[in-house]
Amino acid sequence: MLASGRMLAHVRASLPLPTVPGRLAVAAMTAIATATPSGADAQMTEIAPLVEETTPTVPPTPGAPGNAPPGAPTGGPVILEEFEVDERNVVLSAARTRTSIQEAPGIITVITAEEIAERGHRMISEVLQMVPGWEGHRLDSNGWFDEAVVRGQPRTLLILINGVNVTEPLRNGLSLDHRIPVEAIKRIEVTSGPGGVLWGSNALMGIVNVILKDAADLDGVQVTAGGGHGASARAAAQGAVAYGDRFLDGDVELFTSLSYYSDAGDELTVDSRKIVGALPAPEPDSTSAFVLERDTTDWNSRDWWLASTGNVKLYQEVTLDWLMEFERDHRQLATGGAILRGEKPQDDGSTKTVTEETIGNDALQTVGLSWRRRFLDDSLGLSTKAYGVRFTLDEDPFWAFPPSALPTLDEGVVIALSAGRIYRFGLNVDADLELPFENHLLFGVEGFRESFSNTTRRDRLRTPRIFPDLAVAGDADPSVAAGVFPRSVDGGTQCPPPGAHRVLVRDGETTADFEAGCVFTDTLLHDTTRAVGAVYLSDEWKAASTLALQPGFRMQFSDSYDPVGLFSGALVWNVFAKLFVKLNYAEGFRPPEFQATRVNNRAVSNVGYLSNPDLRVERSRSTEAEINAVVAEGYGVLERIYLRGDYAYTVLSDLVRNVSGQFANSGQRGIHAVEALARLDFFGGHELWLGGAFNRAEDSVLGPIRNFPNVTFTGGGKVQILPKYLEAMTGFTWIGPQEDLNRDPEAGYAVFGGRYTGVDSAEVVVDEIGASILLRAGLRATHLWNDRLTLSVFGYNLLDDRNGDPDFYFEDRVQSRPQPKGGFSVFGQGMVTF
Amino acid sequence: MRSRSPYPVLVRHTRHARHALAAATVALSTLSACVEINRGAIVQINFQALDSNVAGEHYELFATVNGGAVSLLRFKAQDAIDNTAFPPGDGRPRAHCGGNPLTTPNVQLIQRWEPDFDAQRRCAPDQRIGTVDKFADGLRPILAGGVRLDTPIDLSEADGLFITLEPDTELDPRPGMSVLRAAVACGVDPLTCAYPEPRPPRRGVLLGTFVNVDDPNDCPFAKGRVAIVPAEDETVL
Repeated sequence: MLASGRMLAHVRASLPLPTVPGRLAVAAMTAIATATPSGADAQMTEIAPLVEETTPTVPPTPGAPGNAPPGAPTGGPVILEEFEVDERNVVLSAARTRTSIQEAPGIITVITAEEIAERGHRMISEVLQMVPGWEGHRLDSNGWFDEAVVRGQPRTLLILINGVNVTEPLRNGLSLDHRIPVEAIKRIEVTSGPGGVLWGSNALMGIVNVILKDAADLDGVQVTAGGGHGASARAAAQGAVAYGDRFLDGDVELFTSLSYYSDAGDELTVDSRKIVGALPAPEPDSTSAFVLERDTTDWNSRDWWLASTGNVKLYQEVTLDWLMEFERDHRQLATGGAILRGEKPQDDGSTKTVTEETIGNDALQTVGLSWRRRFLDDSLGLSTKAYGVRFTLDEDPFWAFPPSALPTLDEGVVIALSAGRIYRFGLNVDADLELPFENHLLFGVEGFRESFSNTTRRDRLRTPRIFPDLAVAGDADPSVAAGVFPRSVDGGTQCPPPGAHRVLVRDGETTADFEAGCVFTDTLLHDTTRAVGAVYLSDEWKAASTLALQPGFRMQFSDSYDPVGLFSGALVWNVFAKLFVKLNYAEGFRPPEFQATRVNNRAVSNVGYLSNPDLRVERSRSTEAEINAVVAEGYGVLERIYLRGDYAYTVLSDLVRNVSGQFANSGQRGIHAVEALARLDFFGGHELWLGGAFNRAEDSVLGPIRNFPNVTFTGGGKVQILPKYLEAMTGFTWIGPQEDLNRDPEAGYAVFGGRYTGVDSAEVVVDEIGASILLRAGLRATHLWNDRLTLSVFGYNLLDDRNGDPDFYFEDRVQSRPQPKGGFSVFGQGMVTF
Repeated sequence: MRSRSPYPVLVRHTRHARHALAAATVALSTLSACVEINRGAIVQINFQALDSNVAGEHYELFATVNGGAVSLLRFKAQDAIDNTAFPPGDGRPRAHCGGNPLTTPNVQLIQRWEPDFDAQRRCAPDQRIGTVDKFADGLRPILAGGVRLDTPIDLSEADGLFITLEPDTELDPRPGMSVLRAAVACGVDPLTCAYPEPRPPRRGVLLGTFVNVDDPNDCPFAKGRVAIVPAEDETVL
């Protein structure tokens, strides 16, 4: 459980209990519970601290990975609320200590490995799709980003892997696709709302803490293989192998896994083929050209993701963990929405259809080394973690238009982006201390450094006619000394000769390195480093046996932005039995992303917004109230019912946005969010759950936020058809209607002899994207072959819903049409454990 | 804390909890700030022809809402260069507005006008509103141009726009001499004669066409098209 955490902590609970895995523990605890004092006092009484971390005394049953309750310690009793034995109810993120989701000072949802497997999730984005108030699989830039959005606010998440920040600083986001293999995940803790005091940067609206598996989850070898097909994920194939073991009487624990996933992309259909589009400000706006016919992408070259995870633990104190991920993905749909298929004119007057695709590499690697120990009769806990993260960002091309009959665009346009390698190295030191009068102090310091260099833009502008306009007179090359690049004998133009040439740019001139074939390279992002340091303090005070208060403060410093002070305050009241009320005030912040501050405005073909090095951090302040309860325990067929309802009002300020083509801090946004979740657990392993969210965001610049749904529902159920051996699952997500500001090709006019339809900037339309129902169903056969084999088959998007996504920013110029998404698919998998 | 009778303890703790809860509620509610929501609109215009202003004058854009006129924007139209196709020295200033030489044409630039107007600031983000349409070269062999204005004025009930010519020294806020006008309506351009075929209503926008105020034709020539996108959320369920 604490593999991800930075520190050990006390667990506040009522019942002394030996450690046993899985549902057997539930029965044991229930039996013990009937013999011990109950009621509010008993539930809030601290009995004994948690000594060590996450190793059960009984090894997990082979074939049932993840059933052992994570966090079960070695030596000494495990003290848990009786319902906390269910891993779903234990959480780390909210308070940086181990506690129950009922008591944690935040709105928490926990998804376990078992749940991921039961519901057939293939990616983290699909997991988050089923959390109330979250949209897990939201596209931007026509699939370049596949991101999770909380309460309708994109790029506002802190994403952690084993407690390490892996939010990529160039874009303040991370696509949660196949890069983190789901079979390597122990649990995911999702916090809805800011979490800046304890977690610092990027926890503006939410936190996703992905905790990877360790030796507690597997004793032996596990092999997984699967495949599937459909309009989302064509010809999918997946394989993984994992190994877990203990050595030297448990002093050394090892877990490692290797996962591979591949498919041939999604079947994406656009309602109009975009030939060329307007460029973003500060470029002047312009007509977009379309062909008024639907078009569907062909099969991509195979995308693939290869990931290794691992966890080595020494003497329960020192842990080395890693995620090494490599990938290639291909897209025929460019970021601006053009399918990269066009008709290239031939010399004989005919045209030839040419199809291209972008090749992307957004690999992620992270490694961490941690040490933790308790002192002073367990009243002081200390945890340190040193880590490194490497992000890769290569998109070739990033910006593209297909070949067409338009002059100068007969070979299309491709602009590649190589941000190279972005690094983050850091050290966290966290501590907790028991103080008199029921105080429990959490405090710590952290420091990290982010950097990247040699971030280039490699442009292949296959339109040599434009280069004469770039040349600077007086170039050292005599062929360009006159101020123009060489012209061909027929009066056309050639590509500049290879070499370094002075060229005109936005506000002066620069030097670009030209290669043969109209390829040139210049600097996209200035070399950058950013150093950050922070100190935080939070005190949990048991004001009464049923009342806990937790104020907190954080101060964060950087050489790139002004000091940031953050406050938080939480009140958790155990009203009676298992009914809790929480009031929470939380703050968060997001540093300006590097693409907003460090882009070289003088890059030759930079057609993006102008950077602004003086941007301030964006901030959030949220007031939240939650009521949760566990009721009807053991009532008839019901094992229990978990209910949760919450309301939050969040203000975002100093938002970074495009103001006339330059990034600037501008405006505020207020967000009302109401969320609810009900989960019914029945005896026999059956489940039903239903969640919903209402969200309304209003902005001081944009007005009501229209490009995210106001209402979402999620729900489903699991039925044990043959107890222990065969279960069926179904789940749905209903996403309410949204609006998308687009340009209307139907309002265009004939251009270029009627071959294309031109659409001007005044021909905008507010498209309504209707409600979507994403329905899933599956079967799992478990405990086969002497408990070693599990088989599953799932169908996704059974109703083949093809509703697209609006863009993130309610703009029409670059993202002129809704972003298409894939449809139905099926996936089957087998898992064997030895 | 334990007592012989759990009830008094529970009551005492519940009372403490209620007091703390009430105090926390008051405190937390005061910490939440209100956001001034924009109830305005996005206005996008394609000017097909607009005379550049001479020195000493500017244009002003008004909307007619509920029988009254409200000023949306004061601006100057001016010739400027935003690429390198024409070398400096022909009299036109180089705008350097961030338009990439690869992609931008010579421009007729729309700059916001205020009494402290400075043409040298034509490229500042809060100054440049857009450009008048013209055919481009470079990477954009199609019509370039477009003006975008974000206004806090609620235009959802607007029925027209008009543009006046104003002296720079004019202090009277009332509209001056109108030069262009456009009737606007929800989803359908009222100037139906400008379209050879009827067009289906367009969702979420008010549409119109600018014409010269003194155009004598039964079907006036179009001088520009306009779309207004009011800041409304028309979908919940």
